[in-house]
Order: sequence, then C-alpha cells, then structure tokens
Amino acid sequence: MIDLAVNTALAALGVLLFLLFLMALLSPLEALSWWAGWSGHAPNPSELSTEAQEEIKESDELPQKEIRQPDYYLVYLTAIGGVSADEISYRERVFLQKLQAALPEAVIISDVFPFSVTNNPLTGERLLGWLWRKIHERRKTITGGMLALFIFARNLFNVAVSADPRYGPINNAGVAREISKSLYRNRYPLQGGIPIVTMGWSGGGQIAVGVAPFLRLGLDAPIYVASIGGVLTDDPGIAFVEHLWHLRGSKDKFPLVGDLLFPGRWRIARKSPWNQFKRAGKMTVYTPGPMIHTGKGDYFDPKTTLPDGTLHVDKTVAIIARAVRSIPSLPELVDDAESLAAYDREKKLHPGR
Amino acid sequence: MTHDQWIGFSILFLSILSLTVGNSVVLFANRVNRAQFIRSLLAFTFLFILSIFLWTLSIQFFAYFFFGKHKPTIDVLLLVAASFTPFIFGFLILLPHLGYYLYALLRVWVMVNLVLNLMRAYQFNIVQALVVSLLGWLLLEFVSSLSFLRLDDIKRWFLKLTTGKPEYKDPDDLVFEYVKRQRELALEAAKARQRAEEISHD
Repeated sequence: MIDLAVNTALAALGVLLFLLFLMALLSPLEALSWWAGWSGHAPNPSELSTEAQEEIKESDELPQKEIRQPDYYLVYLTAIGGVSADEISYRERVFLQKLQAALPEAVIISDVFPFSVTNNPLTGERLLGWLWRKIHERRKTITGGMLALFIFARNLFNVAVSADPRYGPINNAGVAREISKSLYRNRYPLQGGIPIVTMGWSGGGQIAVGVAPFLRLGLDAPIYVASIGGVLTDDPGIAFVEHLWHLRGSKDKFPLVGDLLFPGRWRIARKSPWNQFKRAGKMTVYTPGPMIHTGKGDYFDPKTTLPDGTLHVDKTVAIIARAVRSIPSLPELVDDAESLAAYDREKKLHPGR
Repeated sequence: MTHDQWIGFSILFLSILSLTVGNSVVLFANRVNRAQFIRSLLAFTFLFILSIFLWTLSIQFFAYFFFGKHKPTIDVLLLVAASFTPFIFGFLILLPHLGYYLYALLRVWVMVNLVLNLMRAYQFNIVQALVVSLLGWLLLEFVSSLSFLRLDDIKRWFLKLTTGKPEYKDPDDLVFEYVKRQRELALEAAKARQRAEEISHD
C-alpha cells in the first residue's frame, strides 16, 4: 500500500517536472513566432500602430492651449502571479489608487500585461486560454491553488525569456510596443520628452528594465524604473535607464535570485552595464521595512502596519511618489550612442548568448 | 556503406539538426516563413556537416603529417561523427537562460569526446590527440578566413538557393532597426500633417 502511494507520488512528480520542462522549452516561442509573423499579429516595420496614428490625428485637431500635459507617465507591470492586466489583485488596485492620489500630476497606466508580447492575457484568446481560465477561476480552492503553480511557472519562464540576451530584444520590443500603444492611448505626446517611469513588481521588475531601450528609442523619452521587490537580472537594457529605485523589504529574499543567478550582477563583472550603472550612482536602494515579497505583509498590504504605524501600502506609495518627484524637469538624458555601445559590448562579451 | 556507417551518419545528421533547432532564434528574428524555416534548418545542418567533413580531413592530414599514422577517411569521419553525438541534446539550447550554459557544456563534451576517440583509434596520448584535433580546427578556421577563396560568397549563394535568404542579420540589429523605423515613421507622419495644416491655413 505504501509502495503504491510512493510510486504514485513519484509518477505525479515526474509528470509535473516534465510539464514544467516542456513549458520552459516552449516559452520563447510566443515572442519568436509573433516576431516572425507566424501568429498573425506580426509587427509591420513599414506601418505605424493605430494608436500612434490616432495620437497624430488628435494632437493636430486639439488647440494647443487645451492640451495640458502631465508631468510624468507611470506604467505599472504586475508580478508573475498575474493572468491579465485587467485582473490585478485588490492590493495592487489600492496601491495604484493611492499612488494616483499622491501624484495627481502623473498619468498611471496599468493596462499592459507584461508577460505577453501582444498584451494578450493568459485567459484571453490563445490556444490554452480555456485551461488558464479554469485554473484562474479555481485558484482560491486548495487544488486550484496548487494548479496556480503553472501560472507562476509560465510567467517566470517569460521573465527568463525577457532576460535571455537571445530572446530578450524581441520579447522586450514587443512589450514596449504594447506600452507605447497604451501611452499613446493616454495622450502621450508624439514628440516624446515626458519622463516615463516603469514600475515592476517581482518579475515585472525585469520587464520594466528590459523594455527601457525600446521605450527610450521608440518614444524619445527619459526612462526611469521603480522596482518593487523586483527580481532584477543583468539585462543590458539598464544602460538606457536614467535612474532605478529599488524597493526591497528586509524580509523579502526573492530579489536575491537576480543577485545570484546572473553573472552580470556579480561584483567581479566590473565592466557589465549593471555595475557601470551602479558606479554612476544611478541606482538607489530603499528598505521600506520588514515587508515580504507577496501575501500578507507585502509591499501593497493595505492592512499591515510598520513598527511606526504606517501602512505598508502607504510607505510604498510615499517612497515612489518622492522618487518620482525627484525627477528633474529637464533630465540629463542618457546618450543613446553610448547606451547602444554598452548594449553591444555586453553582447560581444557573450557572443553565444 | 555498411549498416553501422548508415546508423553513425544518421545520428550525426540528427545531432546537428537538433543543434540547429536549438540555435534557430536567428531564423525567427529574420522573419522566415514556416517553409523557409524548415529549409534553413536543413541547409544549416548540411553546412555544419560539411565543416565536420573538412575537419575530418584536416585531422587525418595532421595525424599522418606529425605522427605518421594513417586511417581511412570513412573511419576518421565516423569517429568524429561519434564525437558529435552529445549535440543530440542541442534542442535544449532553446531553454531560456539555462540554454546558454548548456550549449557551453555540450561543446566541451564534444571536444572531450573527440580527444578520447582520437586517443583510442590512433593510440595517441592526450597531447597528441589535442594537437591533432586543435590544429585541424585551426586549419579550418584559417582556410575559411582566406578572402580569395570567397567562401562567404559561396555560402550566401548556397543559402539564397536553398532558403531564399542570402544572409541572416543579428536579431538585436533587426529589433533596433524596427524601433528606430517606427520612430521615424511617427515623426514623418506628424510633420506631414503639420505641413498639410499650414498649407490649408495659407
């Protein structure tokens, strides 16, 4: 009887590991087939997105005095537990509402799903959409909670795709394209210039850095990154970021994954874009208190308080609002040619990657 | 050709095909369609096997030239082919992040295999096996760098003939070109509208 139980458990574990392995192996295909035009949503190099065309039309139609430009655009990118940009957790929604109240001069965008090159939610129109919908519907039950592991795994592999120098440019250009479309929908001016802050929680932190080169070059905008417990890799896209604010709770160990797994983050790699970025004083690390990565007591918790009585979410909002307001009105922009050179240099150091 | 030789070459073909699949990101980046993708995989596999054949000839040459040992070409080719069998796992290079390290591991494994196979087949010691295999590889690199042989042109001609694409650009360059082009298009469109508006005002 015990043997049977052990054998069944081992067989189940084997199947689980095989499925995870298969998911990892196939994970780059969504971005690659999109770019190659196999999935029917291929980017057309000789055509502007509809959103950009609309923006051109609207900005010409409106009298100049009626256009009141915001001071900043903030783009929120959810964590690897997300299935869609529309279905973020209650805690995240509270955080975004409070942040908007703290920064009325900013436009906050949260309608981009960072783990899809076409902003297609896991529960949207895709081959396994029905399966993701079922898992998502049941994730609050015990078995559904276990199955939700597949959502985490799928999005985690997507973070790895974004961080991989072979697939990263294609994947990140796709997500940046979706962010650009959303920015244009929200009246981002065509001439660029207004600072864009990409805010990423957990795995969203890597995407927030990965999209930086493509937003910088595609929108002619200064790019800032706010990482909220972000798992940051050694993505050379950091060379295009003006400043990075990294929030890391003293009880949050997840950001360590990025510190350990990615050689470009190690101190020994002195010439990596990451270490050059840090040496230039462009990275500020905040420890907002004893916050954990996710769940009760995390960065967005609207109920748990810090020892000084501040709500976790309020502390996070206060840090980000202060950081955003520290952006100079005429930021000294990164040099595109230098940033491209740093990006290329990193690629030449790892030609096989 | 004997049955064993057929099996040996079939495994070599599958190994190199698997390796090519693992490195197929460049094909996607260059926007090949499905038919071109298959043709490109086969074309690159053929080119790789051709380079293995040339490496075999150079190994055979150096083994005779330096150590006076001769073996039939087919035997040397089979032992080189056998060394490349770890590339049967080449498709795993597709794995994000881990794939890069796995590729490095597979290359080391192939090199160790080759040295061991040369030691066994030619009764070489490790230094002799290393000398023969590395010099063979260096000779191949040297010959392929000789511009007057126009090997690049031949390769381009072959790829054009088989896949319809004479060369494959770096994925990074293609993506940055796309983003910059989009920016140019947006600015051009804005300027065009502005000009049209100015004319209508006049």
